Amino acid sequence: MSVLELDDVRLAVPHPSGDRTLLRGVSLSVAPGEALGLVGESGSGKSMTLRTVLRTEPRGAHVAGRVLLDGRDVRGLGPAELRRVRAESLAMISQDPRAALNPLLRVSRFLVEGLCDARGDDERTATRRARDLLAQVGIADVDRCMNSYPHQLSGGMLQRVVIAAAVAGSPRLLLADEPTTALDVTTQSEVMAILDEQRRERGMSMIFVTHDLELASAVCDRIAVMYAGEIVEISTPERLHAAPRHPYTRLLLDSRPSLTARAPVLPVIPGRPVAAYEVGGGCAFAGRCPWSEPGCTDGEIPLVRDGDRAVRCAREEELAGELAHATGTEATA
Amino acid sequence: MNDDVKGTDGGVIGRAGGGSRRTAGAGGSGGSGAKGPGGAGGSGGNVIEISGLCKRFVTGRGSGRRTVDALDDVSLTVADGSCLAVVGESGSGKSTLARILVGLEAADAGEVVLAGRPVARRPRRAERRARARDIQMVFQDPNGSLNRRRTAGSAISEVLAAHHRVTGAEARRRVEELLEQVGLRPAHARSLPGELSGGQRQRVAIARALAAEPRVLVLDEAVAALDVSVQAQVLNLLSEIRRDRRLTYLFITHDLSVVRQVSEEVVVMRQGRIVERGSTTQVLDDPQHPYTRLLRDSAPRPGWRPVRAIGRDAAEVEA
Ligand SMILES: Nc1ncnc2c1ncn2[C@@H]1O[C@H](COP(=O)(O)OP(=O)(O)O)[C@@H](O)[C@H]1O
Ligand code: SF4
Ligand SMILES: [Mg+2]
Repeated sequence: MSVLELDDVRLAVPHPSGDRTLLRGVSLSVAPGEALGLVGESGSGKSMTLRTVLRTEPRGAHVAGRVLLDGRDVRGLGPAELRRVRAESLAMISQDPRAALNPLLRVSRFLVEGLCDARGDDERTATRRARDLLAQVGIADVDRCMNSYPHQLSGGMLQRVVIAAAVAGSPRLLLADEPTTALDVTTQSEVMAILDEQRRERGMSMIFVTHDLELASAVCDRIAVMYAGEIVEISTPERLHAAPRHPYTRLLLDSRPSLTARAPVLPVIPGRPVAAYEVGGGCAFAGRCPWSEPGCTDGEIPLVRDGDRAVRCAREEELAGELAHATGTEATA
Repeated sequence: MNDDVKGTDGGVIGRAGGGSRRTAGAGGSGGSGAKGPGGAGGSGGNVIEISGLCKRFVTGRGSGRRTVDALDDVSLTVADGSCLAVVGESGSGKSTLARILVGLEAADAGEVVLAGRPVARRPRRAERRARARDIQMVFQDPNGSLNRRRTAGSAISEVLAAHHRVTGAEARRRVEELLEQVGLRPAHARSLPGELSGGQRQRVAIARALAAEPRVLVLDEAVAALDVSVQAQVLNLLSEIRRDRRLTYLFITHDLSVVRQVSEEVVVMRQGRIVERGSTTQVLDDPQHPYTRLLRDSAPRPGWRPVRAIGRDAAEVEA
């Protein structure tokens, strides 16, 4: 059974000019021990998807669809049960570690209190465990870190403290939302390596939200690409790179400058990303897609599954061969 | 002043010549190699020459007092019409370098020569204004340079009036021209920053900088906050503008893929010092300094895996 399953999750928030749709039917599943990357540009609905799992969506939001955590629908849980599920099964790591820590408490207090609450450890046991955890997340000077206040630590150190707290209870599912976006690249590499290692060692599942397809590819078993509040493609990182099946994925791969070769002109995706509430009928990407045809704007285009991959494009079969090759600059410039 | 108003692209380039040559080589051993491969400049001089730049910041007081050498003896030159990328992690001194160059900050020591003219460390107003015309800056967050209550058109005309005394119908025409050059529509002149997307705001910031008709654009993480698809558009736009207007760029970024795409030469900064410099191909394909190698090896790319370096956190504790 999946650790997490989202079934046609839709979300709208109230707005003066009528409700605004933010998620247009998100379906995905995460297997035990699996890491799923959720990739897309800002505003595509990645974080909002995580919030439907944590039940921290904006006040007044209308949510439809099912969110099954180990088979139980978290959407129907009462406050007490919800608290228990959050404490036992879920852990969240966000972009800003400072938000997770109390600025007035030393790291030791933060970790020890968390361990005492979650596991009923006594103070001495919790302290020993906290020190072990910090060592495991690669902190060399454990004493110094334990005695520091958050403002005395760098972002990379703090994020490791947050990871230590998140993995402490070996929850079923880690939700990581751009955990390294605010960090320098060398620190990002280090923090990702630690997160990856801790997750695997403890057999935890993870949803990893990022705008960086390469970063997701390095640590995830499968990648889901989001656009305008829905998933347009799911695939393994290898196949996503070798043969993307959705035009948006193809162009996303091509428009990123390469570390090794300079393009005379970067292939671009014309126009700008659209918001979920701006989408009319048919394909959300039609306005920017070089392969769009009149048929693309008719009716809803389903996410068609094929083994462990899935794609939402009316011309999927026809385009399969063409999309396996990088677009030349002339095709899309 | 009037000459500048009429300063077509040709006129702007024309000013490069003699002045630069007079001081060419002032960057001395610190020079990053004057003539960039593919450098578009016809006159061959250096538009920017920086030597021995130092800047120390002191923060806190009493026992919490700390000093940071944001710049420690930094020298570099940028050839006319070329693009020099400055890379390094946050806190390495990139922004301080940019801010001193455009006159937002004063150096403690060292010399800046812009288009052949030495720049006073604490310039007078007129001098500062002249410099603002020659060198313009684009920031990561266009909200920093755009007023929330000011339309794109008025933000651009403000610069036209300040630097070139262009007003009225002529200003409106120039605003439309500039908007078009950065891929926006004339109607965008009436938009407030809040009504524009991140990419569009960054285009307005670029149009505003171009309104001064500068010779140099200093871009500080100017594409860092943009989504991939929009970033590609803005990178192409910047390359096109540089070619068409024969501008010189100092392009600050933490992203080595962006360096590869935009620059002929690159300097790598760490803790206020330049640790490596050279042509972009040289530095990225065959980095000599261990820190440059670390930067390159940390960049996600196909087939990449994150690695855990042992004992790096000692340097990260700021207390
Ligand atoms: N106004 C300031 N006051 C105190 N310290 C500063 C100030 N500006 C920069 N610094 C410090 O100088 C160093 C270099 O910073 P900066 O030039 O912003 O680096 P970068 O742009 O490469 O991230 C950092 O340690 C930074 O904290
Ligand atoms: S459905 Fe049509 S418009 Fe949409 S991605 Fe496929 S080809 Fe492009
Ligand atoms: Mg900076």
